[in-house]
Amino acid sequence: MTVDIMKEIYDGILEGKVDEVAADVQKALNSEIAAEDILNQVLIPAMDLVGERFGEGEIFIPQVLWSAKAMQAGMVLLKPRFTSTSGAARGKVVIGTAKGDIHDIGKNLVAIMLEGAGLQVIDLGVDVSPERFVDAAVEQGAEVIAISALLTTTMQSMGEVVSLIRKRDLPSLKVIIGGAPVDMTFCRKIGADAYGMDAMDGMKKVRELLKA
Amino acid sequence: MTHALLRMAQDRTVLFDGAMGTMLMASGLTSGECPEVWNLEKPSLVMEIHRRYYEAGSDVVHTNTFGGNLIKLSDRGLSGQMEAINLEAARIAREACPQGKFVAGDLGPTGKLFKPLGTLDPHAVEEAYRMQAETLIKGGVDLISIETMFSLQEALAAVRAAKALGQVLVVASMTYNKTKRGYFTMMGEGVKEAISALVDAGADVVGAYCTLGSRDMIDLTKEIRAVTQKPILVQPNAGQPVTREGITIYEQSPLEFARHGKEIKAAGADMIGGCCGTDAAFIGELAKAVL
Repeated sequence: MTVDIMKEIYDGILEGKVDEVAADVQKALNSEIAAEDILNQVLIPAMDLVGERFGEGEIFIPQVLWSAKAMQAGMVLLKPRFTSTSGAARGKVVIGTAKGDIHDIGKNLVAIMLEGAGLQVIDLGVDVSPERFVDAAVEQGAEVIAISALLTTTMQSMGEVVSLIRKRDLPSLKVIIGGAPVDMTFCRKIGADAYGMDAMDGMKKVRELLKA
Repeated sequence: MTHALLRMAQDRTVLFDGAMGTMLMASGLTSGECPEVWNLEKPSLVMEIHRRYYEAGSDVVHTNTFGGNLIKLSDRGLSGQMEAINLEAARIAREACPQGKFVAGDLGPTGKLFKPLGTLDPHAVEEAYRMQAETLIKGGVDLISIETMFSLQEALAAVRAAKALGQVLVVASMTYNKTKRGYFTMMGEGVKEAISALVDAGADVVGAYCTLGSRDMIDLTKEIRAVTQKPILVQPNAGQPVTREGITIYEQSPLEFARHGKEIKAAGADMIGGCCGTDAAFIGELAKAVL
């Protein structure tokens, strides 16, 4: 029964079946399966596969978002069950779209995938100034700031976030950047800690930053 | 009675314009500034861009209204300016437009997703596009060009909205990504699916816009031609952007772009222009290559 219900949840996420995943996660919790196990053995691997398929062009935005909704439906039930040594300790990320930029589909996708990975995500929305990014990270005790930009004209403010962090002497606060006009060269140039090629890659890199 | 633009397309390849955003940035548009507001605040700079394209050989220019729909303008607190922005944009392009050439009213994406995935209401979207198209037509545009659409649902809403206004020529272009399995929109629509639906909804011209560079557009043009007899518009980017010293540039030369333009024409395109990274020089070379 245990193996079956876990497989049901896994398949449900791949197929984006929101209500079924919620019902199955509840069933799993009711039969005493640990929330952490559901997260680590099912939710995260399912999301990894979704990300891989998206990266390969096998599925598209609608499928990814439905899978993400299914994940979130499960997460909502898991969160209150995490013991203080798990879920919360996994890490906090502040995410937003760069100042002057209002594009958010990619950023929203990354936020969902980070949440699905068990991280606490503080989404500041769009058009976020460097000050707001850093203030929020400090207030919330986040370890990572994730910035997205679609426009070549707004990616420059990513460098300003890095400078502000240095100015305020917060060496443990990491910055990851992403978005269509961004690349590794730009990441190195502005001194950011990581660059995410797409939502899947971004999620992997955030998890690496949090382990460090 | 055939629209004059379609008659022109029967005689020869029709040239559209190149990028507006790229040219606005070259004229001083800064990070975060709303490009459409320049129709109100710096009309002469916008007019100059249109003029340069016409002089380089463009038969058609797009109004500076890519983000000029109510939904996008509301995000910036500019919904009250929708009419003024679109009217002025049309007026400016009209004034720059030489005799015998054309002005296309530009309708771009809302940037959001439809319910239940997102927050967009289909009626509100169609209404927003109807109002924008109506205003542009009032301002004097010759046709409506719906471009860089990544969602077929949204593109269809725009086509229906424009067509409902009466006898107006509608061009509808999606933006496609090249994947291992072929060309698809971000929402997962393939070429055949998208083109047939757009034609059924009333699009007079169909096409591909942005995301892809000129080389990748050649095969895409063939695929579009394979599924429709309608005139085709293709507006590629100037290659892919690269970042050097923190500045993002498009490295492709106008000559190479024009060479690909010739192949895009051979692949079946009736109308060709450019998108991100292109400018009047690109259109100039394109004109030499395809006319």
